[in-house]
Amino acid sequence: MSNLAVTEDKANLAAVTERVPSGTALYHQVVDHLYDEAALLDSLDLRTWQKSFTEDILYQAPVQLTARKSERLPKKRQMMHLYENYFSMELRIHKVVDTAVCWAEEPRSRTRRLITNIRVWKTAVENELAVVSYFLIPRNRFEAHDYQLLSGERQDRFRLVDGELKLARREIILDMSVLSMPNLAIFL
Amino acid sequence: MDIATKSIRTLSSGKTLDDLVRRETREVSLEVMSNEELYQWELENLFGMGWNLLGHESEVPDANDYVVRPMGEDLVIVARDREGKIHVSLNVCPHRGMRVALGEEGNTAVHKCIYHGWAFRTNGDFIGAPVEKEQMHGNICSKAELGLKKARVELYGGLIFATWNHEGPSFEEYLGEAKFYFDMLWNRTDNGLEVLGPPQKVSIDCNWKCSGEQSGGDGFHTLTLHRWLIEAGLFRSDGDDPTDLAPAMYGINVTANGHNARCIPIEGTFDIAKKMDASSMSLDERLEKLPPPGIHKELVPQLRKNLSEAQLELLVKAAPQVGGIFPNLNFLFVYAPQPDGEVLGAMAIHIIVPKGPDRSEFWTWMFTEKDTPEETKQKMLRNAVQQVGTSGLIEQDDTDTWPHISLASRGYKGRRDITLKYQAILGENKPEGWPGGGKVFAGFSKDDTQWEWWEAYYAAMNKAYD
Repeated sequence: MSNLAVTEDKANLAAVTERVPSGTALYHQVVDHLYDEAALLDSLDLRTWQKSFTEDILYQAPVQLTARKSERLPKKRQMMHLYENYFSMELRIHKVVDTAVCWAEEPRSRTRRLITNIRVWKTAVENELAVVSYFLIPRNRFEAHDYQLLSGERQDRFRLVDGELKLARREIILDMSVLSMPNLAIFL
Repeated sequence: MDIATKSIRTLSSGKTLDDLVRRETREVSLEVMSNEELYQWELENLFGMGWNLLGHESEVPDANDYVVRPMGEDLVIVARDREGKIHVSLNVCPHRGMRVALGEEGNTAVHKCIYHGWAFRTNGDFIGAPVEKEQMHGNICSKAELGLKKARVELYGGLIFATWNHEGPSFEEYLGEAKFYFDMLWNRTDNGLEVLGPPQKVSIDCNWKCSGEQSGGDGFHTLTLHRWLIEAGLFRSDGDDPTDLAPAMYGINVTANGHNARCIPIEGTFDIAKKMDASSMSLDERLEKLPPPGIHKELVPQLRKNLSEAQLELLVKAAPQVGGIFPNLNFLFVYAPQPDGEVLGAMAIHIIVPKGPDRSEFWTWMFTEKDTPEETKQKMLRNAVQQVGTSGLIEQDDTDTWPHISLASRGYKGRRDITLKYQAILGENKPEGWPGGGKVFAGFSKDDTQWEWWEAYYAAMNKAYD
């Protein structure tokens, strides 16, 4: 897995154990879930998406920096573009879904979440899966002739609760230090 | 500046600064948001010869730490030397123009250009080039002449400012009477502020002044663009209709030299303060129950030590919560009530970085006081990221507005016939016993301080440098 993100609570994650190979039923359950999730996000059905969160969800996107491997970085805290919990996700979803004044998404963007390179592992915690995937999101606003493009990697933890996958943690590793879009009013 | 002062500069189209910034009617031609020639003047007069915010000293805590930062479209190395002094040098090799420091941040005692190997100290001095005896740098220029170009640097409250103007006013002179107010934010504790991490950076397809003029103290946009604050119940509103006018529009706006601050009484902003009946509290009670934004209660004794009584009273009753330093710095040091009743503060500073007439970068630093308890720091970071900057629920709506203004300024009719209007005038109106200087506008926040931003723009642009 990528080690680009250095967040203080990363150490608290359960260790990854065996790989869940493609072709297995569990692997395909994860793939189907990620595709369904992409469809919900692209169609702005955020209330349905929200039902797939655990209550202790952490959802965050650390700021990326260009650095030379021969040099250490100055010591400071990890900055985030997104640093969310269940409560703040509810506020965000409320703003987009229930108000007409979310001007960063009103009129809404056209988006297409392309999710690929999906890898799945079991972890030391029973029923908790580590899932890594890549994403490419073209976002189109107003009558722009081009896209605001964002690519990156999701490092997820899903829990199987009554046979359903629930998102407990999503760390989003963005491939840009200066983001190509003026805001993150969309979910990744 | 006297309105009788006339423009000494003319664009190749024949238009003067007076045609663009119309001081008698307080209008600005929309053309300023896209004119390439004007943009080149700005790079020289504002970002070259003016003071630029580059970061905070806590970003380079150790010897040889550096960050690469913009002064207009020039990139500079901001480095701490072994004695602890901070230097700012142009990140361009004087040999063949290559970028010297390649990272956005790093730590090195020697900045060595990867192209031909010229090497420089943290203060920009030229050390030498490979194969010293063959003298790659020739014998026409001395080594002393071949260092990186050095900027003039001043630290204010730990914030690092720099300019290429080695003769102009000091940063303190530049702040003028605004310093009294800014000291309440940046010079109020024993150990000062520290960044909560590197800045967030996003790219916006807009002219930098779309953000710049807003940072001059645009109060009106809160009512519509930030309507969500009222609809979500975060901002107090009077009456049964939650969309009633927010009392947060009333306060005291101050300005000096184009810098500004909006001093907003907390009871006008948040329901939580209204319920506590903050207006009847003594100064000590307020300090105890509603400390100023960003101040943990353990730090209250430090406020008493570092601020004058007049500053302390103003900070507690009507803290400068938003404002700007001309031309491209915008700050928010706001109360941040939490669902559990705790009142945190969110402290952020933005700069808008010019990247051509039609593109900018928007940078956001988030701060805490250095002596804040560790657990609170992490909470403050989480809260600030949720409210301001890239994804901030409040600020996400600003950045999507500006590109439309830039686009409009490219149309024939828009450029020619539309003006930005600053004609809502409250007028100078200093309350009895007001402790600070500058121009003071007490009442409903109108266009007064934003117009002062354009007056500062006119004054700074109406100069010719060699």
